[in-house]
Amino acid sequence: MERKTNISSAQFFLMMFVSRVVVTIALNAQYLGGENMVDSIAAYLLSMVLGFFIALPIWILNRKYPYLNVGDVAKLALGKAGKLVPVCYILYFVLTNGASLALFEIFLLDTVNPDFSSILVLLAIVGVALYGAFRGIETISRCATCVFAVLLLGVALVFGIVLFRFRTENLEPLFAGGLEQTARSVMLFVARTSIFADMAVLLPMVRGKKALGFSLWSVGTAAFVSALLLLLAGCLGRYAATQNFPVYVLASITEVRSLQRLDAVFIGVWMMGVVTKLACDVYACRVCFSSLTRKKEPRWASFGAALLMLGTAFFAVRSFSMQKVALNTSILFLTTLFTGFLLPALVLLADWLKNRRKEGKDSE
Amino acid sequence: MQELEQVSSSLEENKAFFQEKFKNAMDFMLRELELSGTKAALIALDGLVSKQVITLSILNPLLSHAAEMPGNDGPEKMKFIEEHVLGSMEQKHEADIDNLLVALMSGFALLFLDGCPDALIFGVQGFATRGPEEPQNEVMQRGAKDGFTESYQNNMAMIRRRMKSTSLKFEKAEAGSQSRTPLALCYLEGVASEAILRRVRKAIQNCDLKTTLGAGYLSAYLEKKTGIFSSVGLTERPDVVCGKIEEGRIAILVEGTPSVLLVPFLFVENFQTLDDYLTRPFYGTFIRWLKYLAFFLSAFLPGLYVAITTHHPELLPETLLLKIAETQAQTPFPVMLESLLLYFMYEVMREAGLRAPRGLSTTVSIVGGLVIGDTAVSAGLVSAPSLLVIALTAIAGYAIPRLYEPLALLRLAFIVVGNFLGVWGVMIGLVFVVMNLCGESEFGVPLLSPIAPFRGGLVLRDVLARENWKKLSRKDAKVQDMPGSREIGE
Repeated sequence: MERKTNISSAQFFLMMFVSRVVVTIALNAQYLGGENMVDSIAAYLLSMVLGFFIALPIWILNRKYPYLNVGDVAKLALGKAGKLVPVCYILYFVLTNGASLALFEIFLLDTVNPDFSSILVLLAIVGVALYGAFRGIETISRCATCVFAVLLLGVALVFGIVLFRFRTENLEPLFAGGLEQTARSVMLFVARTSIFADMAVLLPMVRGKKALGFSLWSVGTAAFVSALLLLLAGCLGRYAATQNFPVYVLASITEVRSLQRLDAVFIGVWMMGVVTKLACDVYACRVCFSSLTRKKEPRWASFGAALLMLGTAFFAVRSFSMQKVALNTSILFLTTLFTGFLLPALVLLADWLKNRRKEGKDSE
Repeated sequence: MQELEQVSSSLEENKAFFQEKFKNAMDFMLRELELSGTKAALIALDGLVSKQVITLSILNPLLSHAAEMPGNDGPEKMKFIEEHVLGSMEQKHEADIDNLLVALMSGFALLFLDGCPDALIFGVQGFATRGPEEPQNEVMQRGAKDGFTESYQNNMAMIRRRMKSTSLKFEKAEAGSQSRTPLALCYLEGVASEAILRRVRKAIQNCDLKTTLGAGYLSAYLEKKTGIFSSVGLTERPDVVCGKIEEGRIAILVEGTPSVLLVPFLFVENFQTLDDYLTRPFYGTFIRWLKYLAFFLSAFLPGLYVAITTHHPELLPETLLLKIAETQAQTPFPVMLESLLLYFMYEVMREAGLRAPRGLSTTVSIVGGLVIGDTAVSAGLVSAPSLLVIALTAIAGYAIPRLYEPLALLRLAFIVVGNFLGVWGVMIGLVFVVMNLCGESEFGVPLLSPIAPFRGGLVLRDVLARENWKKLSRKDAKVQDMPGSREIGE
């Protein structure tokens, strides 16, 4: 099934930028692999370099089949067995977004403790994301442009204000505790990066300079995460390592006379990003379902995927055993590598073998 | 009675047909004549035609030249009348009965001659029309003071007077199987997109309305999807129509309504008024920003007020927080209920002010605004901050009158969401509104263009800022060339 190209490279990678930076709300010592946040800056840069290599099979496949996603190519190369590939992507999106939603709910319950039901907030987020997924990738990517602008303004405001609390003496020396934390951090950063799977499914719908877009995305997210980590380290010092959600703590210390605390606004802006990420991945599930059923992106698939994500988040928050799976960074890392690198590489290999066999038959 | 599809050669048959069709219609007029031995009949509807024009321009010349008319042959006489007797600008032959009926009911007079298989029709309209007045809903400080009237022909003339170009086209069309309301598609040839024009023609053709009493009836047929914001614009000003068609839009002038439809219509156009372009650019930009602020105030202020006072009081400065808490402690209702109550009261007063006879509307405003509002606060039923917020919201809404309808509903929704989910609910609601805006794409042009999809040049030219005319006139900004636009299929 040929995919129509309908969003620009800039739109796609802007959407991916929003999806990536919203994940950083959950950055803490545990998710960074250690207490030295300066080390994590280096780790993020390394993870971005690693990202170029992880994405290679996807790029090669996209170059060869610009109008087909990895699932579609898998079906061409492997026949019925290839149907497993879109299923793997659906499961991956359900897992990562379920984890994101679960973290968000944990954050609400643990830190903010609102006087209304956190499930209601989650339902509203999923509802709007579902609406976006119904409307399609163009709607989501355009919305992401607006969210990006709001996010940038909100973050610039908060960053600008907390900058006055920055103390260089709070920064710890780079690699003070060796390279172990950095290595752990690289793994954790890759684990929380879902762009590879998104590219595998949605890249055929993107037109324009994709390689440049990916490079800018890497540089942009690296700049953002580095600035955030630097501010966390410089403003909060060792205190940041003791917090479950240090980013929230950073936002809540913005004491401006007219608006005493901006944390609610900060979370609100962040929530807009979560909706965008979720909408994008629910839509990606829809595309995977279309690879399976050969029907034009069935709407019911969005509903099913959103429900699964919500269910995963719900049980991950309430059941410890489920939490051990959904929020396990090793599992997330392996699944990210599997869907981002291994699956496309296997599909590429299968396609190559099939073509060789065909060439052999033709020459006979 | 025999149903006719074409004009009969027998005058008696034609007369009988029209008399039967207009049985019990006291405005039906039939004047019988004899023109040098050939019987003739002139048919018109009273009130739609000018009797004076008929007498002076049709009956008098006919009767005074009757003796000169050649032979007994109907068609020959008709040709003579057409070429030598009558010299009306608006006259033509018509044999189709259906078209004759429409013409008759549009203020034309019909002349039948015995033995002639077609009729001669004359434009002798003489119904009373309102003269151009200043538009009520689009008041301008510096713009022209004349607005459209109910006659679409007068409206066409108003546009033509401002746009003296042969590229300006008015295509005739019709809507309503029963009312057969005439309308005109107005556009600039070579500027408007052919594909969009085809879509508009098709939409009007497919319109299955029985009666079309206003331009608003057609909006639903021009929009494929129904979102929160409309992609069909309305204006009462000829100067606005001229500006819009110059950018490739198509205007639809509907008989009987002083509003003209504009397609495709972008969301940012709701914030643009002619005054922006008649003042200096920096002031035009300032006014534009005020309107954006008014939009956000109008849509989100009540929701944010409810959300912050109910769930996030820490967002407020201490002094303000204490003042609000103090007034809230003296009122019986929660903030959401209070806001909803005030909002409904305001909407009822607005509706009453609009519908009340003119002489009473001032009284309604005074009683509503001052007496009820003041009494409600002093009686302790509602708090002064809530009243202030709702009043500010209402006034802000009038800065962008084109968006009043969606804003009225959004406010309501955000009050409810703000109460249940706090600021986050309002933020999620904002994403929903943005998604809705981003998802709309009528006539192949995204509703939120050029913001999303983004094109910096266009955004800085006439969205975030209003450039001066020297720069604006240098480049065309056709609506079909907006970012994200695509050629639409049949």
